[in-house]
Order: sequence, then structure tokens, then C-alpha cells
Amino acid sequence: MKTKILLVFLLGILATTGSTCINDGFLVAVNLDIPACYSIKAGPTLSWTPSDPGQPVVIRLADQIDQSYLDKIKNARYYDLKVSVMGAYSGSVSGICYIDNIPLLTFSGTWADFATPQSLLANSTHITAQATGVAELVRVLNLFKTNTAVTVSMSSSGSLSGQSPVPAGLSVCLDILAQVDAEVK
Amino acid sequence: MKPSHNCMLRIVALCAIVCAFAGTGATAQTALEKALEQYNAETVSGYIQPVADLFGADMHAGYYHNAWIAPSGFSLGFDIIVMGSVVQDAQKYYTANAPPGFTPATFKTATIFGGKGTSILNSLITGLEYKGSDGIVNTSIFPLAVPQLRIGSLYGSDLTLRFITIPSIGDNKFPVITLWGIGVRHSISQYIYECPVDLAAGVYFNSFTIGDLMNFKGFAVNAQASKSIKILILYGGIAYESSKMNLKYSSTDPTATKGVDITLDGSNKFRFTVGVGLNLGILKVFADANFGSVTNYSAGIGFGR
Repeated sequence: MKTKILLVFLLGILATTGSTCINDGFLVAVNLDIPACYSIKAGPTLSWTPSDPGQPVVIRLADQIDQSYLDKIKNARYYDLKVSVMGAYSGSVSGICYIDNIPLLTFSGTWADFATPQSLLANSTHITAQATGVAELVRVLNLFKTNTAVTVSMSSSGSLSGQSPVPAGLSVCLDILAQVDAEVK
Repeated sequence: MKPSHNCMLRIVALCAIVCAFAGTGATAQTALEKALEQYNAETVSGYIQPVADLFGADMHAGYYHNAWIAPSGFSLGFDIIVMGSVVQDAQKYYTANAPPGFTPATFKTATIFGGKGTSILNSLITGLEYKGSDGIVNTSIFPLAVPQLRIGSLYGSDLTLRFITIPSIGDNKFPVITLWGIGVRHSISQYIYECPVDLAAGVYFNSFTIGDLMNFKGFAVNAQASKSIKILILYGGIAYESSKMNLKYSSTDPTATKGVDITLDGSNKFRFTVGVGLNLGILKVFADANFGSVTNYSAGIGFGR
């Protein structure tokens, strides 16, 4: 009988191995990717505006991360902005990307330049962040800590020069790379 | 069959059944698994490498506590082994890569065994900030426990089997662990006339899964020696071992390839074991220390031969 009690005790230890050494309240740096693409209408018009079809692109931040982290967000930050293009065009492109109707960045260069994403981190000479838009981005990210229903409205205006008419299938994409800290208790 | 032998077989059978079903089935993704998914193939290796090292060392520990093997005849033993690998300070932090283009390009932050994750600011562009996750496991010794069954003897050889499923730990933070292992050893001293110590050689294979993302495989070959002095058993050995941890998951990192499928090598390759045990008849008590690139301790109790 004593042997059986000892066995049950030891098996209890087995079943709870390590349970006391898991940190309580550790922060996981969760990737928060906020992407938006804006189509450029095919035809003779060499420009696009935030009122074009498909704009603005409204993104609910909560949809961008694992739902289990939603009520655990403690901090938020961004670490890069990237602009890229899709489709084939021979010429140049320039424009503005907006966040909540506030200019977030301007971009300019040949279409081929943007075939490789142009990054703020890489000190790209083709994109320039705008202080007011960055402040709005930071405000929205901070709001996400307390309001998981927060959304961002992303839009863009710009123009092309060179090849005309505009071929079908062109778009300009902005990618905001951010992180949130989720506290796991 | 003697009554005491009959009782022993019943206890062993009870233990085997309880241990085999001690764990739970599949569970939802745990905090550890979700944390790993924030890393890409390049960045996750530093965060998780200590697990490969320490689990790799744990799973090869405690296989023997006596090199004596009967030349023939049926024997059955059941052990419960608790083992732990020492977490060194160097395993609590690693040099991580910042996102491409970030200045600084690397930074020192917590591994899974570390404290707070480090936050860095880009030194060239104001406002850009990046951070590593905090450590999840806070311990100086990374433990594991496993029951094992030893069956002999045939031509001076015996077979060791171990299996356990440990349920999710820490309120679903650490995933279900499932381990099984098998080993065969053969008496060498039976070929040496009046050998002053018992000698044996063994080969062992282990498989180990942590949740759905981490999968370990390992093998070890060892040479064992022991000397019994009344109830005292002194034992030890040397071993060559290899362990590999495969990680497979889909990363949420937008800057990298989604599919992560990497294999990390456990750092422990050789181990030197010294141990002591007490033979109290049907009950054995033993403990040993294992030295290699990872220091590991194991101890346990055994029933039967």
C-alpha cells in the first residue's frame, strides 16, 4: 500500500513537471502588419486620387493579429514603412500615402525603382515620411492598447509620367510594419 | 511465480498504464507556440536554441544506474527518473538580428530562458523602435521526468523503454510534451573472467515532441561501468550523443518567408557520468551527474531488477 501511495505521489510530480517555472506576465512582441494597395485605373488618365474606387482601404487593427492577444496589448510601435508597386509600367510615379486623410509619406521615382520595396529603414531616397502622418500613426497604435475596435483609413493620390495610356493591373502598395506587446499571464 | 514477484508485476503494469495515459490529448495552441510564430526562420533559432540544447541533454539522461545485466532469465524493472539540465547565464540572452536596414543591425535580447526582451531605437531615423519577446521559462535547471521499463535478459542483454505524455504546463503556456525512447544494452563483463567491475555497452534512441511545432530526435551510444559494494552501487560511463530539434510553423513576420522549417543541433555531444545508488532489495534509489557541454543531473527510484 505504501508503495502504491509513493507511486501515485511520484506520478503527480511527473504530471506537473516544470509548472512552477513558467513566467507569469511575459510580453510577446506580436507582429502587426498594416498593408494597403491602391489600384490605378487603366486608361488615358495618368493620376489617381483618394476618391477613386477601392479607396480608402479601411483596416481594423484587431484583424491583423491573433485574436487571443486582443485584450492583452500593453505597448505598440512601428519600425518601418515600405512602398512598392505591382504591374509593368515604363515611366515614373510620384504620390502621397495618407493615414486617416493625413499625409503619411510622399514617394517619387521610376516605376522600376518601386518594383523592389522602398523602405524607410533602408534610407530610401524615394520615400519621405511626413511628421503629421507619423504622429497620427503613433496615435492610432497607442489607441489600439485600449480600443481594440480601432481602424485606420489608408488612401493615396499620385500621378504617372511616361507611358500612356495607363495599362491595366497597376497598383501602388504601402506596408506599415509595427509590433504590439501582448502580456501573457 | 512468487507472491512478491506477482505484486511487482502488478505495480509495474499499473505504473505503465497510468503513465501512458497521464497526459491530455491535443490542445489549443499554447502561448509558447504563438510566441514562436512571431519569429522568422532566421530570428527564431537564437530564441529557441537553449531548448534544443537542454532538452537534448535531458532526454538522454537516466537510462542506467547499474551496468550489471543477468546473462539470462526474465527480469523486469520500473524506474521513475527526474532529470534536469543546468541553464547557464549565456543561454538566457542571444544576439538577435533587427529587421533589415535597422541601425543597430543586431541587439542582445532574451532567449526563451531570459528575462525582459530588449527594445531598440533606430539611431538614424527618430521614432522607429523594435523589440524582442520576453523569456517564457524562468528556471536555473530545466527539468524533465519520465518513467521507464527495463526488460531482460537475453544473452546478457536488456531492453529499456520509456514513454510519457506531460500535459500542457502553466495554464496552457507550455505545450504538451510527449517522449518515447528505446535502448538496448549488452553486458561486456560477461566475457571477461573475474572482471572486478560490471561493464556494459548501450545504444539508445529518443523521440520527443513539444506541442505541434517542435520535434526532437536523438541517439546515444555509451559505455557503462558499475561496482556493487553491499547495498551501495557506484556507477558511471561515457557517451557520445546527438540530438536535433526540428521546428516547423507558419511565421507572422511580414518581412520574411512564411514557412519556417529549420533543424537545430543540440550542443551536447559527449557526456561523462558519475553516479551512486542504493540497492534496497526491490527498491533502488539512485542519482548521477552528467558532464558535457551541458551539465545535467538525474535521480530516481526503481522497482524490480
